Amino acid sequence: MMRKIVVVSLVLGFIGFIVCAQSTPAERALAGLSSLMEKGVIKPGQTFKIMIHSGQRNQLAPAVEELSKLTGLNIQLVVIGNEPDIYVKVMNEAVVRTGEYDIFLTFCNWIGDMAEAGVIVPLDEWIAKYDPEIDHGPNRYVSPLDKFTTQYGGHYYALGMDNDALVLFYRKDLMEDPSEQAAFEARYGRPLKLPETWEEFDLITEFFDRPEQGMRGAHLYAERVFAYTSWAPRFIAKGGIYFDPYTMDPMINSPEGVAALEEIIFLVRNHMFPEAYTADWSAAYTLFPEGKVFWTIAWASLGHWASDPETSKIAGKVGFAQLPGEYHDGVLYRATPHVVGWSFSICRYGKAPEAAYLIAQYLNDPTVSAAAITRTGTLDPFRLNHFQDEKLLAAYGPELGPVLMLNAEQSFPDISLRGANEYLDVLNLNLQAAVAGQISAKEALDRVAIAWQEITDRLGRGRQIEAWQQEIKRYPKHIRELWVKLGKMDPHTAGLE
Amino acid sequence: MGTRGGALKAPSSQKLRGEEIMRKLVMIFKGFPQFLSHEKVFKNLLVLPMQLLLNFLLMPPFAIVIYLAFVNWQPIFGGWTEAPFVGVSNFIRLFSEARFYEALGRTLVIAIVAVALEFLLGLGLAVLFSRPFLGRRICTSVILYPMMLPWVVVGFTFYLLFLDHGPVNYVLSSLFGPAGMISWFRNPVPAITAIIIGDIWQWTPFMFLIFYSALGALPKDPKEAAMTLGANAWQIFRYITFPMIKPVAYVGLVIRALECFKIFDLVYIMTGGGPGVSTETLSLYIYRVAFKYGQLSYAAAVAIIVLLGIALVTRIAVRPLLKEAA
Repeated sequence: MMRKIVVVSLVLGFIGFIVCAQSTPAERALAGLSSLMEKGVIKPGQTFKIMIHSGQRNQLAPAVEELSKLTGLNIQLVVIGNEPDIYVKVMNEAVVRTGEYDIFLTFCNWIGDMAEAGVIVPLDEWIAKYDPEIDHGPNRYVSPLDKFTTQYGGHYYALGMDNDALVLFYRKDLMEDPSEQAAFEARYGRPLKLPETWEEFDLITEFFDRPEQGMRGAHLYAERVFAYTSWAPRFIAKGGIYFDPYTMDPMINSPEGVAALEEIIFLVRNHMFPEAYTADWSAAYTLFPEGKVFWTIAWASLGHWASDPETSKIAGKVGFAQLPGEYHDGVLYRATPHVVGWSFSICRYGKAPEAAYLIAQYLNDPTVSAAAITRTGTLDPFRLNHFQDEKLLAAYGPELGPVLMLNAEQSFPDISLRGANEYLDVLNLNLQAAVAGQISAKEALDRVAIAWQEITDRLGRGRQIEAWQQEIKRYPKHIRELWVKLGKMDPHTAGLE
Repeated sequence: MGTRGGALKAPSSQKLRGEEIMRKLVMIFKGFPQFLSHEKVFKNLLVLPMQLLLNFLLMPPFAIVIYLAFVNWQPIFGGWTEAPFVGVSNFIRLFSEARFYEALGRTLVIAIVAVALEFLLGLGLAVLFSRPFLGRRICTSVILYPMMLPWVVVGFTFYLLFLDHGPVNYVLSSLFGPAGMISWFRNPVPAITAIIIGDIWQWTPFMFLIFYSALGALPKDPKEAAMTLGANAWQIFRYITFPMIKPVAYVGLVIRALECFKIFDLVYIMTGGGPGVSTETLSLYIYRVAFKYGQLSYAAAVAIIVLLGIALVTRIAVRPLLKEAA
């Protein structure tokens, strides 16, 4: 009997040691899975399904295979080709509760809808127990990604897996060409340099717009799904805010909003190909690498694409820069949109949600995720260690990494409230209509304001105000300071006290 | 006494009633084979199991749609069974929604223009192909190919064709110079035109197939008699051939009109309903409201109204056909 007690104690002690001594999120995830297996919560060979987008298979498949080997679990990637279909399928799961999927890799601005629909579980308890190193340690997420790719309503609901802060890609060869610089200075009376403000950006766009040479000044998204990504950085940098923090009244049809949209309309009509509003997001991935536009604003993955001689005619001529901003009282405020961005969340109706969380934590581990992101796909560096990883930096080029990090630090989230999809869709379709000349800028934004009021009333104004005040605190500090400076809110609401 | 008398009569009355019931039952059982042999009854009995199965399969989802239309529910609100009853407010909202009317109008325009042109082209091709010529079989197969292609392929192909720097504009600019280029997806009219062209390209073969089969099955005698009497080709077509294929043409028109009214894929792929909502059709509107905005209750109300509208139109449309059959 005594011998049995000693043996059991030793085994338990060993397991405890393993669990406590894990130094990385991946090791803690493996230990957690092993513990769940011992308790009989999961069994060897049990299937776990992760819903992903087709652009992530190449990045995640090797790590998933490795984890399957290490644990004996059958972890499968279920690929969905079209991003909006992922939202539809997740919401379908909220209704029919099949338990078909265990983990969702979705846009992080859907977290609010998914949490409210009850289809994903809060992760606070497991994050405290297994520590995925989101906001502390040398491998933490770049702030503020640690907040808005993971949280909703003051709780953790996801593990961010991406950094979708947009980047300005430009033709470095032209920008640094002395003859171009001289011509620019002669024409505008100022030196040609990377723009600090949107006004400078527009001038340079005009200067390099050369349709007779087959090159237009810019390609900015003004189409059905991502039109807001061109308008919002100007709007926010001008001091605009989507909603009044105390009443949820839309503030997009303010002078800042209208001015930002009029600037975009002018650029699109005069200095861009019509693909800006007729094509989809992939147009930037063809027009810029083909040398048909001087610059564009897009996701970091375009850096891979435009720098690779196999996919680009301008490889070696590409520069990367921060998005411009606006000066207020002599201080430059840049606002970079973090557009969509992928996060892991755990399905409430899956077979073993805690085990599913641990699988996500393993894939989210600093080293495992760095290896995944090095491969071509739609996930981009989001942890501090990613920006020091030699292989990863080599894949992105030495210049893109630091720029991406700066942009991430200034990035603001997509609307992530309950009903985010609807708020953004209404905004996009009216922005596109304005750019296409169907309605004026003011009319478009007035229409959005009316529709947003209706959505807010339908979803419950009180709860939306509460959620919006939480969301405001996830914006970068300098933007919140600007809002306070302009009297849009008090420091307490801005989370500055 | 009365009680006694009543008590005495009661068993006799019960006995009589029992005998009567028995007699009726025997009559029913005796007459059952005869009842079953009645043609109408027998036919109905044969389809009854399938009818019950279909009702069982169709009615629950339909009942859920009706239920959803009268409550206020979105997946983000939680369980649908606890959704609050809101009466007809979803329907009231629908009738005050300009976007719904615009989508309905656009869908009707697309359906009317596309189906009319498909009808004419299909009929013309079928008449052309009803006469023998070298390579007719191969050409017939080639004509049918578009119909067999998946929607997504057709949508993407036409999207590429009509891009600003696509082949259509290349041809136009070659013919008329840069001024001849059309920004197809920038304005509603060219965008809807491009959608209609795509639909016509894919579905004219369907009309062709229907007319081609109908023409092939026509008896030759009436035509030969008319020719003997000196009728020309147009007169034969106008007064003999077309009246004979009219019922088939009617069926083809109704099927295509109903299908075209549900048009979704081409619009979704080619324009996404844009710019703005200027090419949004009814199906795309319902899809967006239901699955993008999650307003399933409101979408259910729209779906019910659309279903009722289609049922009514179909009833009116097939009435002449039913009359003719009767």
